[in-house]
Amino acid sequence: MGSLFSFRQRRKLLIAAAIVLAAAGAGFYARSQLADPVSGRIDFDVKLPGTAAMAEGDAWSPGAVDGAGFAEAARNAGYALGVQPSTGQIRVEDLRSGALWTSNPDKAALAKETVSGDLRTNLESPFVMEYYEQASIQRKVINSRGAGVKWTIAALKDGVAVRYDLTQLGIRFVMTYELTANGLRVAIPDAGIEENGDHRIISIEALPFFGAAAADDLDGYLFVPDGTGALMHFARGEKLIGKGYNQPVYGAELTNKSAEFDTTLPSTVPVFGMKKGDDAFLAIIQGGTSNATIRAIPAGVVSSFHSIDAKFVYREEYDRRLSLGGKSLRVFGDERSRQDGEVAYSFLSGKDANYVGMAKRYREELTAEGKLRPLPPQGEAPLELTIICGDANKLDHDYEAATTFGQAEDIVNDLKRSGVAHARITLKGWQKGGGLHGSEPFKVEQALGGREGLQAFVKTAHSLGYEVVLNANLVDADTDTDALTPKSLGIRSAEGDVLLGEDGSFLLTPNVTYNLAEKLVRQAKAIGIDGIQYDRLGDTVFRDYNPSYKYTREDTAYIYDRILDLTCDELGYGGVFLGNSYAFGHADHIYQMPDDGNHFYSVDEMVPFVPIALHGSMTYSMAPGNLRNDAGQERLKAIEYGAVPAFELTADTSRMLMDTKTYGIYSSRYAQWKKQVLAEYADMTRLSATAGQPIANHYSSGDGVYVTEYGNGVRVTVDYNDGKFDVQEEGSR
Amino acid sequence: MRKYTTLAGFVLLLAMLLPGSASAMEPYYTFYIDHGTGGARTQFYFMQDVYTTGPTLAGQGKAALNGPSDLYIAGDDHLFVADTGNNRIAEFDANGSFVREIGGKDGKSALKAPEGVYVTPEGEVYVADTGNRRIAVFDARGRYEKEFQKPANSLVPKSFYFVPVKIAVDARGMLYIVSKGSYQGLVRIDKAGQFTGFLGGNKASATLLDRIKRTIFTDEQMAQEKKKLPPELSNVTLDASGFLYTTTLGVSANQVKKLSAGGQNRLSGGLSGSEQIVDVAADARDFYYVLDRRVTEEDDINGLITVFGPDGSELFMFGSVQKQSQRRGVLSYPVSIGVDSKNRLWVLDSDLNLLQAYERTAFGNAILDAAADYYVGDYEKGKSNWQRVSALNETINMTYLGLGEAAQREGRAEDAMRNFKMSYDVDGYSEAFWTFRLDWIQRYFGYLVGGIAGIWLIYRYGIRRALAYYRAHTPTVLQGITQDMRDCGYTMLHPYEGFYRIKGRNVSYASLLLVLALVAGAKLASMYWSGFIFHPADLRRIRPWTELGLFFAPMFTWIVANYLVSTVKDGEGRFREVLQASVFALLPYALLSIPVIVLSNVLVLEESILVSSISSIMWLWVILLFFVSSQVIHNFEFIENFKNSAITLCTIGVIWLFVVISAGLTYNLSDFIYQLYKEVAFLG
Repeated sequence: MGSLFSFRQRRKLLIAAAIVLAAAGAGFYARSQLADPVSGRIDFDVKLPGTAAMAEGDAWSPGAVDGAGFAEAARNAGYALGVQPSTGQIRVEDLRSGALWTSNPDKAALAKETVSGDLRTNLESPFVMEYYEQASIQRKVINSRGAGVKWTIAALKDGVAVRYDLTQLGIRFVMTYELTANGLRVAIPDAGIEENGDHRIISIEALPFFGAAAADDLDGYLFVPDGTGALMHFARGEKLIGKGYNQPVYGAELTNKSAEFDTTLPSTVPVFGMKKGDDAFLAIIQGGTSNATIRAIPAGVVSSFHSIDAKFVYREEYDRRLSLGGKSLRVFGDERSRQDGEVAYSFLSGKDANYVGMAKRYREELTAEGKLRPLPPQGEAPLELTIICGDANKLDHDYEAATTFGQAEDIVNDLKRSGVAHARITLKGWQKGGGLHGSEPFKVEQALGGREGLQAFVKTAHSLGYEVVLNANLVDADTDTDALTPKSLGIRSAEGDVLLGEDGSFLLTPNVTYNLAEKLVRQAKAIGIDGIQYDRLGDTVFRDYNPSYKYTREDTAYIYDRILDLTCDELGYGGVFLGNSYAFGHADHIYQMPDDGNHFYSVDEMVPFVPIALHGSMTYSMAPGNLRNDAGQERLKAIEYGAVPAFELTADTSRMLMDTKTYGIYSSRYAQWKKQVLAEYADMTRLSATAGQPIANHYSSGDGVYVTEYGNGVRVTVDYNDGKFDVQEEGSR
Repeated sequence: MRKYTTLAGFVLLLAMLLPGSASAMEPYYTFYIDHGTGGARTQFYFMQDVYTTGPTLAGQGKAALNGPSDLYIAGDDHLFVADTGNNRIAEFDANGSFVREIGGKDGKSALKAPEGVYVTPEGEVYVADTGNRRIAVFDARGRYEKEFQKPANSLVPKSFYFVPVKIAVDARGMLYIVSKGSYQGLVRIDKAGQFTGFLGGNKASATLLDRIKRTIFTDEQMAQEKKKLPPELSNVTLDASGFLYTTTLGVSANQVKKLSAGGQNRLSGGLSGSEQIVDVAADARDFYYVLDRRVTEEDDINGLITVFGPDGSELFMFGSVQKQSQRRGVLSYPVSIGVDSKNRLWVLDSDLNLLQAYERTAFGNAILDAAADYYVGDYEKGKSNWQRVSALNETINMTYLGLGEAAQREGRAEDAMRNFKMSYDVDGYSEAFWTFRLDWIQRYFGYLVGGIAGIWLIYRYGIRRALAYYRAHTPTVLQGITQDMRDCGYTMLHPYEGFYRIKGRNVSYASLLLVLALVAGAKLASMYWSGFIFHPADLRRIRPWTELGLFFAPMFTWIVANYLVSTVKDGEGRFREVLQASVFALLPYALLSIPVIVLSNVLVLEESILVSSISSIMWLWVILLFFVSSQVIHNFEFIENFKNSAITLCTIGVIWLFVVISAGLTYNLSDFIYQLYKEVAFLG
């Protein structure tokens, strides 16, 4: 009896508990649906226009072959394209200089080669493909000499299309070669790729040995986009260490979770080149850019040739979890990236056959695409001063104010009194709690003076003729401190789960970033802010595997560009860090352009490729003057490379930032750095004749002495030996 | 990265660039390692480079190395490399140009897989000719001179194999040899070739289990146990003052020892972490540089080289080791480190077959010069260097140690206090405070006397009268509480009488809460307002709720346990009585905390006895009151109460054990719920 009674009681209890649980669950679900006032919905179409339809052509009937076995397939004013029907190899003749560029080393050069197997046949193939068999994870390699590889050649208007049929793998693809005004365009159109069997493409390298130089071809170098550009000389005084240069454009993909402990700075421009004797080429990756990897391999690593090429990646490798316990399996993504891989080779000769010529060619290309416009003539670039307002410490989450708006006013007043005519003041850490928390990006920290304080600061700065820019990071979020839910707003990994860092950090979907930016821009405009400096937009792209978006890196870059456009339209100025090339033409200024490369063993020398391409069309600054590793060297480098001086300062000591996310600001007190700011501003005044001018030439005129020549004839000579620089106008030569 | 606090977790997102690190020149980070005295924890702070990557020596042809093992930098900065795979010693000049090789093709001068090299100031080259099991000596011109074989001496055990791998020779010509497989320590041989004993051998580490085994096992059983040999030494370095640095692989404590001529270790503790410390280099000012071979994993700080001060404290850490090194400055299998007269560090990599130099930056020179002055006690000279350092880096706490000492010397006590406080140096702060206090008393003695008199007057004619008035005209609402408070105070001094008074009646909850509030207030005040000398902590690190919870938890367990035990043991007390008595028993804490807090703000370290004795009295008092309360409330005999209290303490232990165990057992359940929540909320 008693037990029955208690059972009944318990049943009631159980039912009650179930109801409560269900209600809680429903409430929780409703909350999760309502919690995010910022949505992922955007009012424009992100998907880029689909891949191009493939040009169809009739079968090409080769004419007479010359001594080397090539038959002419196309010819324009500058170049003639030859194709070797027996191998599919191609050759471009520069009709002006007579230089011959072949897709592969010729027989005579190959005779001396000692490697064998795939490595050897790769040397004779116009492509190298990595593939895998489904249900296997082993990477395999095939080239045009592989078993069962057949091809047919079709004639196009300015060239040919070679259709490869890898009969044993059930894979087909097309490579097109077309002459352009500047050289050759090689493409692997998406429309031509077919995967009918069990084999899937991982990556394709187009013309892996184009122009490959033999080891004893000592005069020349490979050009790689490491840092602001770097050279790998053919001549090698030291033993070869490492495997050359092998870097994905815009850095490694994050969503496949393969990021290892690595401090490598990603390459920002999709270009590479080679100089061989009096001739050179520059290759620009124009399609499939953000899935391309640039590979520069010095002689001795895989063959006795120096080679450089672009590898287009179609499937990313990632870890698929098999259990909660952490067991995982390395697999390849199912879906192939849709992209028209395309590389445009421009040929250079004579005095243009060097990195300066390459950079100028790149500038022309960007200008032709409308991405670069010469800056208005009278625009002397302003001094870039970032004021760090503060950040929340990680101990009790209190906001540590390093510079209040009042103190910032004192700083700008003092700068003006000290003779700084033009400055752009960027405020960092001004948001409530130091960063984005929740869906309102324009919440001003009260400890600094709040919205009113900010408004007063803007007024003061404007009255002095300075501009005020806000720094904002609308990409990084944190589950601990943010009211943003990762599930609906964070990007998802290749596995399909939210990409969550160990510390609870995650990345916002580009749409959300766009919506936040729109809010920020609108509200900042209301109080007269002159622009926004965005973290991340110019330095990081990633995919989003969220099934409702399925964004590629290209899509992400596209949305980021839209954010920058919106900012420039509304406020007039948008700045980014590092400066990935997709932001060219959308951002006005690049912050912290690298002033050094990655120190790869095989990379010998850093050159100002990006500065030569950008100067006069875009401004940029390098490491802040107060946070340099080597104060003297880096200051001179910024002058040599035409960068605007930049500082990141505070009114109070930066010690209070030590335990915040803004750590590593080891010295920033304005009072301490004022002298240096004024000194570098004086440098800038001395260099004012170069402002807005394109760089015409750059060379070394002695050991440790470098000369940068500008379009108006001004020459800046930087001497690293005595730490001085000299500006010569044309007349005073 | 190792779970260190400053950079906790950008592990996954590390490949994404931090805007702040875009200017990073080097393929590694540099960290300042901060040790505060007195309770402050070790922390790593990111800073600008102290060393940058210098020239890389990867020669071809004659200069090519093959699996080298050891590097010695001679007085003229020439680099001598034990080029093991090429059976020779290779010499390079200060710029890295190949000079010559030592070791002939055959005969006595031929070397076989040499693993160690040492060059005397006279230019004599001592080679640990490992393959030939001897020390070979060449003169300054590279001609074979003599050899030392296994010492023939009755002191050398018969089973001893002489396999020299590393060598150092001191000013007297005494040889210190690391012999592979020898756990006894360094082999010491004098210049005549006579064995003079072993030096600096490690001790076998005995675990608790080993000790238990030794006591209970029979001799036969012990013989079957695997014999525990002490770990053998792996390297030896001689510094300018004649100390020997030894390293040991495969251990995680005392990896580096600094031995005097007598074999005493001058370092205590040492660095933590790596079991792969391979070599040490020491400079002329007794700073030493420790080379760590451990591969930098995803959750490690870069730590190829750690710079130590002469007193053995870690200062900076930089460099990185990766299995596949692609970048200049990142090594893959470093084996040896040397420092030349220009403070350039050279590291030999046996896998990449190269020598990598690291150059000290201008900032590095400033801070190490300043630190050198600090360690020799030349604070005035150090001051200008520290000022230079602080202009470039304000975040390094050691700067303030130096500036504090300088200010102390110059008699600027307040500056010194501020600086010592920044660097969490309690000893220095205490000294500076003593000066400051003396000065203050001398200057303001009159005010001090006046102040004390004033306080007394306020007490005598203000507070006392107010209290008297309050007593006479207590509002009816407060009469109960007032009476309870008086009882509480009375109980503190007359425990038996006092506890008896509240026995059988209910003290109001308001009064109990008031007492608890006083106690909690005292606890908080002692955390936030104690003087720096007695409580050197970053106040932002205090978690007040956790602290209060930990403070009150024992008391409430006591109440529960005492009530339960006494009920079983025929105690008279009700739960309410136990509760109110226990709360009253805490009053001494609230009252005596006040003088403790006040004194902690005016006393120096030498006078700490005063503070500590008052706190001891305070705690004894509280414990005594608990004890008495238990006796009175339950109406026990003294002995009975004693037993009962002991059982209560055991019960407390059992309750806590129960809590811990049930938390452990339900961990899987709670973790499951948490994971489920995470799956629903985040991962979808």
